[in-house]
Amino acid sequence: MDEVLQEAIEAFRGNDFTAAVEAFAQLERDFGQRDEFQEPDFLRRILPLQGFSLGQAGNHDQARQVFKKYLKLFSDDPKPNAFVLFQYASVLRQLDRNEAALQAFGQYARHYPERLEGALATLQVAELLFTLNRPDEAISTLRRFADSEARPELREQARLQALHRSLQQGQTETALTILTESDWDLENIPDLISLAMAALQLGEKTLQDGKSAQALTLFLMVPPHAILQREQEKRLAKLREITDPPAAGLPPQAIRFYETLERQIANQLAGLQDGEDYTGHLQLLRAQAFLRESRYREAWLLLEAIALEENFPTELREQGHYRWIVTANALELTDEALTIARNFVQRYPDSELAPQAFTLIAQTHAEARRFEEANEVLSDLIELFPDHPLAQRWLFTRGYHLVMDDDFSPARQDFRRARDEFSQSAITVSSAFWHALSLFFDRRYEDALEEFETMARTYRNHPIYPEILYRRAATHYAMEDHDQALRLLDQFLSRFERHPRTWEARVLEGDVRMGLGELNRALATFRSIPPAAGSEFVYATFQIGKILRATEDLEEMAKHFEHYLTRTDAPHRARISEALYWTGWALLRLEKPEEALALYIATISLYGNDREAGEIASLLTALERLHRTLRQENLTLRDQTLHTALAKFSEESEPPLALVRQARHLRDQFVRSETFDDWLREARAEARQEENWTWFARLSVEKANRLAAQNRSARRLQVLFQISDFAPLDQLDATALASLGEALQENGLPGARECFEKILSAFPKSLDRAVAFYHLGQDAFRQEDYRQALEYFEDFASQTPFHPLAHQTFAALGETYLKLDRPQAAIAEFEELLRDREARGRPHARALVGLGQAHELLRQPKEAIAYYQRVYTLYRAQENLLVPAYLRSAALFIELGDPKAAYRTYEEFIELGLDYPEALATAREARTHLLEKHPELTRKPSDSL
Amino acid sequence: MNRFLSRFSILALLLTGLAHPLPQASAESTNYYDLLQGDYWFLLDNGDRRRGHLLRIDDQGIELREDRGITRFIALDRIQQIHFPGAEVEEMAGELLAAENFPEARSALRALTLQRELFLPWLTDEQLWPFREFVSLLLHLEEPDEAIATVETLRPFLDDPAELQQLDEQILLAQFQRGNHEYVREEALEHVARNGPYANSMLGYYLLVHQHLGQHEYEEALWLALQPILFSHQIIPDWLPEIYTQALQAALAIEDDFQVLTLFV
Repeated sequence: MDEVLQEAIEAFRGNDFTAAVEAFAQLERDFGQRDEFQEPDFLRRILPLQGFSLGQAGNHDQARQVFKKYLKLFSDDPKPNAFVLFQYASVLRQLDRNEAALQAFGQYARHYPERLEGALATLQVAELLFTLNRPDEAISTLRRFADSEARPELREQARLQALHRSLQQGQTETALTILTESDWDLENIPDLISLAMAALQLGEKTLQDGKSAQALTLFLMVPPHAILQREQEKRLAKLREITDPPAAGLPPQAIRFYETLERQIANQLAGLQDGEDYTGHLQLLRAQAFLRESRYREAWLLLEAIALEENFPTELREQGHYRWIVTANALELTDEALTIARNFVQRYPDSELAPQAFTLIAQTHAEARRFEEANEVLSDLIELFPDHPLAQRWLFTRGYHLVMDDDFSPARQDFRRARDEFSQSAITVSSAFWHALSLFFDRRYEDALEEFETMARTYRNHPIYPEILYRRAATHYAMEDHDQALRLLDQFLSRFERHPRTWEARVLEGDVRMGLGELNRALATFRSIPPAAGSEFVYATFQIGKILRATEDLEEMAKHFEHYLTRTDAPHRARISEALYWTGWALLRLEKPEEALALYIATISLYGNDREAGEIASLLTALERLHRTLRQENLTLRDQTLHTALAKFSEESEPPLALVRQARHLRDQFVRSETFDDWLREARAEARQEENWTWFARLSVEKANRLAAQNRSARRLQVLFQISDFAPLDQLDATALASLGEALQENGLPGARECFEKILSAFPKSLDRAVAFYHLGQDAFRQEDYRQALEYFEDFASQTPFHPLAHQTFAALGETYLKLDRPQAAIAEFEELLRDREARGRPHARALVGLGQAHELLRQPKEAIAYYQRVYTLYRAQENLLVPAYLRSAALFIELGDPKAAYRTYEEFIELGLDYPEALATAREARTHLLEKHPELTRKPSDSL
Repeated sequence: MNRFLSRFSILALLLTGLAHPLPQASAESTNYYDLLQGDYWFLLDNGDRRRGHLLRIDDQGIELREDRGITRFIALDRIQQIHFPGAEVEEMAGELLAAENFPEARSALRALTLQRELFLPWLTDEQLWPFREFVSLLLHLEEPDEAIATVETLRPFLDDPAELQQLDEQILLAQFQRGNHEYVREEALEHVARNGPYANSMLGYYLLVHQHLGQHEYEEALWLALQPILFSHQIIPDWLPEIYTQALQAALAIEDDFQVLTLFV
């Protein structure tokens, strides 16, 4: 028996398992009945060897039986034999007896968790669970294992398996959790490619689902192709250190595991090396995610790289380039966007994306009201893609922008083209409408009317018809044909009472009736406009006030504004302080000075320090008159009266105690001051101490105005400069900013620009914007930035044309047109100025000089001379304007070949002896040249006799 | 063999006129130099080992005093390997570094490098450790001059491109610490152009961003810093964390709260 046993063992050691099987079979056959054969120790020795040999020889079922026998025989052992148990489980697996294999591997993993085979057994458990269609358990098993203390590469591989299986099972949330919430040991993970590809796959999915932030996190887990390749090669090399040659001490099962893993990863790597470089695609996805997250800088950098990377496929580069334009636009780098877009069209002339890109840029400019820039882009589009389906819309939009810029004539060209050169569409109608409207804005009312009437006939049943009707009425009103305007408005209102323009039409009707002197009917019309009409309701409210003021129905006026102030049903209630002011005004005239004073004190308490409140300046002026009345009539203001005013006009039914105290203090201060100036001084000091800067600034402006009226200009400046010394700019109202800005500007001090820019940015409806437009325009003009100057002056003209600075501004506007080589526009401006009688004096003189210069630009020297001559004939006091008038007309005479006239002009100028040394020197030099060429000019007529 | 010979000639240069005993210790690191005294081991080309106290070195060979007072001369070209006395100093240096006791670590490392400097051609990769650590420490302590000197001493004896690249980066960092702005800018640009945004080290970007920040060019700094951040992935290159800090600094300076938030997240 020993011999046979020895034979079997040697065959086993020599890996000749077939021989070993034979030997063990013989042993059993020949000696199986012997006692020694049945000895537990003997069986403990040979059964494992026998079982293993059977397994290696392919006799799995017999191997199973042997191992099972062993385990049964020695079931009382504290733990089953590790080798036997593992082999038992393995052969069960081979035999597809999966439930049993699962049990066996599970048992192994429980008994021997610290061993490498224990880890492998756990992995086998997971595989078997998948095979047995118990995926959730399998995934949980893998996840638990991944968090265990097992060897790092096994843990990471298990985690990866869990990830893949989750994806396969459609358990996206689980996969995401595993991917994003695990602490991946990247150094030790063998299969980096699978991880990266899973991240890429999930990233794409989450991006499609709109979860761009999550997509970005996932994309971060995907290295570029070359880096992934390099890193995977490193890990494969590390793996091969274990398998080739097999590391000493590694059990066979482990070696098999690692060899399988190595083959798998080698295949992955080959696939990666042979496959397409996904890097560009990845970067594009990332850029898309960044765009959706509004992270434009990052998007820009990626898209720029994609667009310029020569190794990327053309289609990818095209996509990247287009999105680069979008990003530049989103960053409001519209000039750059345009450059990139033009480059795009050069590279990809047939791309369908090009027009979209340009359109986007144009839209961005337009939204920022940079209409000229928007039109530059639209012009590119129209030129490059004349047959594009959007060409008609581009033409219309360009025309619309030109209207916004008051450039009506070229606007009409575009509207005409959009109307006439394309087949009928909604834009055709809009173009026709806007063509007519631009005539209206251009004050060509008759032409506008004609077109509106043609449209009214053509589009009687079209949705645009009500609008046309309304515009016809407005045009008649502009032409002062009030009867016709009323008739059309009546038609409009009776047929289209729910039209969006209804309230505007009612307001217009009210204004028409006011113009016709039908004040009662106008009143009724304005009163019919409800609070829901919004800004029209506010306008109507103040028009009613105007009418009541005109009809001297002061009681009604006071009640009217009180009602406006106290009503709770008006969602849009504006101009509160103005309403308060007019109420007080009416009360004064009703000889209710105490109530008026109460109202003004209440208004100041409520709004004195409120930057947004208007009419406080007017209120201060009214207070000055009230103070005189106070003194003259020995007035008092009782607490009760004050309290009533506060209760009526504050937003709360019971005014807060602090407000009441403040109002009383203000009243006491006002009443006890000897003069209004005393009160002003005290109130200013207090405002400064309490840092009520808006109120402080308002009082300072009032003080400064009073000092100006007294010709105390130095003191006036002092007071205004104190505003900038103490008050933060963002707490000044528009009037204070304007006054301060002008004072700083006058004296060449810094800070003026800031004041003016603040007015424009913070006070979109204030009349003081005029001051800002004017001074900023002048500043730009001085710096020779004529386009910017034009913008400012044109804004003045469109937004605040009736401001006292109008004449200077329109003159400056004309001069700016000249600098921009737009003589016709300049002429229109100067002629308008000349028609304005109130612009007599210097503004007219400037206009005449401007007209001369305009005609020079048009190469019309005779006309130019005529204007210059008017200047030095009529405006000899405007010395600085005489200089160009004389010198230019003299030069023009020379051009026209009339040296005599030129000589006389120079002589006359020199004789004036004006204090302009350079100009005089020029005139003298020119005169000398003339004499050299025409000596006869000095001979008197009598010399020839 | 060629490599050995070229190193040998470099060593010859080092040793020219240098037939001298070991470097004298300075007062501050006496301790380490004392610890580094002892017997040297030399493995020769015929397999023999020689051990003894080092008496002198010159361009011909070394003189060793062996046990029993025998003085032996060994030609340089016969030496294959060397084992140095005072191995515990290396361990101590490691511990001092780990404990962040940098002044002491510097002394220990300096002593080690001085001990081994003359034997550079024979040093194994492991025996070069003190040099590498010494340079890193000097840069950390902003002592660029000695760092540069050590790098240039070490450079001829390295072949590995990755190591040589690291030395170049250390020189660049040292020049940066010296305030050599023009040089740094040029080299940093070169670094960025050569390595691109996917490299293992973002030192070039870091230095360029630093210069922008120094000139208050915050918008430019932010755009530049975003590039390596943007092109990074799970395998984090060197200097990326520092660049994140720079980007945050720039975003804060231009008050771009949204960008600050994205960088934090």
